[in-house]
Amino acid sequence: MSETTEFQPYAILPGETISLDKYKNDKDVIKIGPGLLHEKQQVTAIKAGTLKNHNNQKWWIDSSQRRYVPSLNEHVIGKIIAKTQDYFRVDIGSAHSALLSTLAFEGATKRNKPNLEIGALVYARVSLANKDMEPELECISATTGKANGFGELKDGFLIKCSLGLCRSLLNPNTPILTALGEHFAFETAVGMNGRVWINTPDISNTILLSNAIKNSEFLSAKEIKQMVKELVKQSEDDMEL
Amino acid sequence: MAEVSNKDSFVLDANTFAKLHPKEFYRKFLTNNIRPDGRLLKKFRKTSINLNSIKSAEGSCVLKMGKTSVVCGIKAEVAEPRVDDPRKGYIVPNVELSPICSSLFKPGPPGELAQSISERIDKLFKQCKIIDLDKLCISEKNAVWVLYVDVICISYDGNIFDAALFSIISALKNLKLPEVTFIEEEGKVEASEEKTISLELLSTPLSATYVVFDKKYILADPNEEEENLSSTSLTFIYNEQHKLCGISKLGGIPLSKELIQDCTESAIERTDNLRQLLDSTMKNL
Amino acid sequence: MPGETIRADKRTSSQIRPISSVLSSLNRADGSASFSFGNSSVLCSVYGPQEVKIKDELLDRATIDVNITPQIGIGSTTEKNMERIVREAFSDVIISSLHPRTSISITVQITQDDGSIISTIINAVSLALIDAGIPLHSTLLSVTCAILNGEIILDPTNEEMKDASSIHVFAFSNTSNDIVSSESTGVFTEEEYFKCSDICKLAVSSVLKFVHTAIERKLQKEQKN
Repeated sequence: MSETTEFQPYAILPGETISLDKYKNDKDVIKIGPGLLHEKQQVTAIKAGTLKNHNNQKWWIDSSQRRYVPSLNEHVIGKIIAKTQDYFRVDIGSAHSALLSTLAFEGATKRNKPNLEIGALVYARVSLANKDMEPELECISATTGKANGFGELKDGFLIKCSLGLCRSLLNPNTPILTALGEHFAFETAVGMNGRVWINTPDISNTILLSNAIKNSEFLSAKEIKQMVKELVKQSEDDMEL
Repeated sequence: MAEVSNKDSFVLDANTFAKLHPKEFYRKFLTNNIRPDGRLLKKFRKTSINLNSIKSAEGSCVLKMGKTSVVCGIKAEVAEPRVDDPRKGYIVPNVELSPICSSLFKPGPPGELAQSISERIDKLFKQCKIIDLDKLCISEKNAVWVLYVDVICISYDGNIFDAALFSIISALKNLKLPEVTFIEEEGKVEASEEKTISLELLSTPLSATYVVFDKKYILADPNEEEENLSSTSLTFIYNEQHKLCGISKLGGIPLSKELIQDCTESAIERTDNLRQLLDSTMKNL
Repeated sequence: MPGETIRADKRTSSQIRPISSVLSSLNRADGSASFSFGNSSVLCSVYGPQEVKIKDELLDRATIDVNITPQIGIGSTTEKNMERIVREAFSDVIISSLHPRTSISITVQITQDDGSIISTIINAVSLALIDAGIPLHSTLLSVTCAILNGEIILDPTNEEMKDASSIHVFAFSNTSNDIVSSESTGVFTEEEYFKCSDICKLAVSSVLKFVHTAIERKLQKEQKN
């Protein structure tokens, strides 16, 4: 039985190779994730970031970038930029715009198609992502065929942020959303393509919250609580005016 | 018709195979140490020059390197000297790659390749003393010779840099300027009818270009197809004393010192051969 | 080292100027970085992979586009030549096959030119590509050296380059000891060329250490929460 050593995440540059031998047991299958490339018997980093692993079996590089590259089954927020009889063209921030079939909605039939306008926002799932083709989206769950939260996002406000921030917002215990949730009632949708949608009944609150989320990217949990406190105070002061 | 089978073992004729799998096609030749055009890997294409064919230019050269053809014409004009150096004339090289030589080039302002070559040749003239620019001075601060060196490619089949440089050096060596005098009172320059003054070249730097195919095969004097299939090119510029006047390695594949050292002998031989060609052509004029 | 000449700015011949860089300074670009060797500094932005014009589209890989603007005035053949050198140097570093039919747009603004500008540009482009998360086979870095009065000096200033008998720009990757990109002008011997390449290789490894620290610091800031 080979020895496995304790792994500490560390910063890595493109081109650096990783030797996984000291971390694996003989019967383990190692999975290589984002930022790593397995080529010619070596695992090399192709992005700069922090090398992380899960149970010494799944390895990936944690890095934040701004440009979205579509990946299968990710949930994204897109804006309708064109529509034809059979599909909508959606801008999801990637190099190519995505196609959303008009039948890919719950309860849609040839006679009963969704009526989305150009400029409308949709929350969808990436159903086809491959480097040579245009990405495709669906607004129904892969397994049940029901909407499950996908579909049009009415009203509200869309902000663009880095992919790293979106990933951290999807964590149910994320400090910024829980802190804001203690004081405000709001609806939010987070797309893995660097887009976040927020909706509150009051427009000034919507703007306040979106700025708070944008600013929270590099703050620690303590600083976030502090910032939210100040925002609450500010909004109460505004209401008094 | 020669038949070649590809990896999926269904049989294609050579031309179709070359179109579908150009790299594989080349590999089959290179493993036997020969290229599809029949040359050995380090062999340069047959080069020929024709001097002084453009009577209206002060110096000219038409050059053929395989199927690459360029025309170099040098026009000498009198101008005021540059402010930073009132005792020197100057040279303005310009390389043109237009749709006439290949469908690769679009009409309009010069593209990146043409400008890059013009710049490299300009740098070469500035950093290696090829012409004594003082000899181009007619009257200090008043009038100097400006040599407009234009290279026009009329047929593009790769390795335009070697062709352009050799045509420029050949045209310069055969440059004939008229005798001139500067008339102070009128501020004019009077030139004689005959062009009798030739320019002595202090040095004749010439180049040899190679491309690297598949990280291991070095091909000398690439044609257009070979240029497209390789991502890395290596150019050596040697003068008549076998000193280097420039090395340019463009492209991403890393090359070891040994590989670079390997080409230097062949490059020196090639540039010497070109010099001999130029000398013998001039003797026969 | 005893006997080594001291240059005008008090450096020895084997010393490079102080390096500095700032990452992600432009908030609209997908990636950006500034890099400087002493008084030579450039700012670089990267956009991509993004939509590409049909006429520039490549079916199996990304189109790499480089634009360099000088400190004063508009670009001339000098900048076009540098664009070609940079584009060719990064052509095999960027894993362009992962993003076919897209464009990766690299824009460089020279903010101050005091010698060794091509190396400054290559380093800024590398950092900007890393900042943008473009997949790269390796980290490409560059250092210039010049031969002045028979001596090899690293990272020359404009003044030193003017009088040099030859100038050599080398770029190396952190994945191989071989030369990735090389531009040498002037009059020199083969021996001098290979000596310069060895000296530049050593200098590049110290620039690499600096880049590693810069990236580490940026990651620490991001991981704060």
